[in-house]
Amino acid sequence: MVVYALIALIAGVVCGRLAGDFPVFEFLLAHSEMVLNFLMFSVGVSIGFQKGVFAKIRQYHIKALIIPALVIVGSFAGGLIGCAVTGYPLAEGTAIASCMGWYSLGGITIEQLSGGMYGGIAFLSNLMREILSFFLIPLLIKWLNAASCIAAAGATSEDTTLPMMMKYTTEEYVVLSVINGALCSAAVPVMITLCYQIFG
Amino acid sequence: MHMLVTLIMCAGILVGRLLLPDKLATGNGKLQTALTLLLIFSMGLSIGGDENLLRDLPVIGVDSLIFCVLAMAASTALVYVVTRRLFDKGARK
Repeated sequence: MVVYALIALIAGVVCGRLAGDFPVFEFLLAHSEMVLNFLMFSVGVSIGFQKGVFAKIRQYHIKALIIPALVIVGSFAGGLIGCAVTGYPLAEGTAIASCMGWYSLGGITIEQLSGGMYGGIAFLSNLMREILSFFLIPLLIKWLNAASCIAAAGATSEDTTLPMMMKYTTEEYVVLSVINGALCSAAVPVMITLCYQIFG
Repeated sequence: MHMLVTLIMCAGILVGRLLLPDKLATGNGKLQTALTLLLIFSMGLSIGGDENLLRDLPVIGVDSLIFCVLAMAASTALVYVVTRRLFDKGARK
């Protein structure tokens, strides 16, 4: 998926540079908000399909909820510090950090709200989180604990980084990892909304 | 607009949970990939159409890394500090 996403982004940049006023491209740019709404509906449907996750959350109770809650708070706090370092507006900075590694949705949602620059940063920053956490998991399990690996992976802990969790942690943490990914993913659009509501 | 996005997602969760048969999951996944790629392409169009943005690309790369590292470090540290006390530390193979 990362490769396809990068190809789509680069193709978009090249087309925008060379033929941005091509009618099909102008139509797409004018209607991207509608496409995003369709995507959000589809994302909701796939969360609704995950009936197993709902059952597991009931089984693990508070333990299942504490990691995602802390990941959401930690990412938001990281965004606040990032704003202090870079001088970015609080709404954009916290929203970028609150994507928790979901680069595709984060990038396109923030692009809709704040334009290409912030969308690009949200995309890149969260793509980096996915890639970095993938390679950091073996080190985090050695230096810290299994829950820390889930925290670094953020919303990606249910898909792209899950194989690393399977390799380096126990079955229990693999289940917690899937629950964390599902809950963090569902929280991404909510957190982006919240960041713009609080600071916008 | 952003509140609408959350509401639409919640509507999707209800429809997926209550109305749609599970066999549509694969189709829904494919649709999601297609829409995501289309939107990423569209984001590329708006980046490519902005000359200033292309010129600032190196700065954007560094800023992206700053937000990535800080968000990751803050959530990892917070989870470590809390779970070290609460969870079994020996959860490794």
